[in-house]
Amino acid sequence: MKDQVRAYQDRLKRYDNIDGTGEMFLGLMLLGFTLAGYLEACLPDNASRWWHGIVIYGVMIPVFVIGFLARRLIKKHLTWPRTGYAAYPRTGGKSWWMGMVAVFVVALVLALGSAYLLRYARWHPAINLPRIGLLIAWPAMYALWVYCMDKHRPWKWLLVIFMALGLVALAFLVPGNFEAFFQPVSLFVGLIWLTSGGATLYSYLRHTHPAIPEAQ
Amino acid sequence: MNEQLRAISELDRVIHEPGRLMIVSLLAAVKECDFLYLRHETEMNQGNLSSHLARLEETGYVEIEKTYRGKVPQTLLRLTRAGRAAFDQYRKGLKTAF
Repeated sequence: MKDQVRAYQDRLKRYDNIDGTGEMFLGLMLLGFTLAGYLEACLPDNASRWWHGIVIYGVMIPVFVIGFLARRLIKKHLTWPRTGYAAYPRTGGKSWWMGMVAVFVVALVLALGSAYLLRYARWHPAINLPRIGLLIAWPAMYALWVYCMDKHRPWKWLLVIFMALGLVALAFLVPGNFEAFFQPVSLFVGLIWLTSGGATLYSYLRHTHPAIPEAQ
Repeated sequence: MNEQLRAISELDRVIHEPGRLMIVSLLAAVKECDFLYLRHETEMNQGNLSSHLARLEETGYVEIEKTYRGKVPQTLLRLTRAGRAAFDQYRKGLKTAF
């Protein structure tokens, strides 16, 4: 009984991505990140750091705003009239602070680990740990997402396999250092997240219908 | 009577009913939701859900607000402070009992 109560409460997390908008938002952010990276590469070599910052924020802020608004519009006009509206509870208190500390620690470990790996890669280009790290990290992250949020959609596991194989193929096709490898990888992974979210939305729209007003 | 049996006998009967337990568990996880969301998640029919909600409102556990989303009527639902406290108490009781 205790676990059943917890299970009902966990459903809200999955409900937030019932329409695939969470995945599409992440995919869009990754594509924005790729675009910013390509534009940054077009800057002249002597461009100041300010210009790099302007290019990155100039792309990422509009992409974030567009993604946020698009998600909101889909929820308002498609999701809520079909399967209902639910608002997350306000965060606060001890558990919120514990969560923030945990996120900070994980981010710090990742940042230090990445910095270490980047440095290590310059010394050992043959091994190139960051590239291997990317090959493992993205499919692992997507697999975790599918496991936690979309276990009932088995076709997503095929996408996990496709992502893993595609990244291995990219590793052979794209030579060069970590920075050169990162752009096509984020483009490929962003497209997969976007496709996965789009397919989820399509499936959601096919299987649900707007409720009649009296039933709300 | 031992402690575990007493904990079972002291469980809140309003929440203990399976349908209402489902509703209260879902409402405890959200700040607020509408009738449609509860109907979708519980898979109850409209009449059943309405009668359970009426009982919970009568007990003071659930607050029901009739409003509009554009021109479409919408029923917003949220647990009251008393409802949240009763649910926490119920969960503690369950832990003691089992």
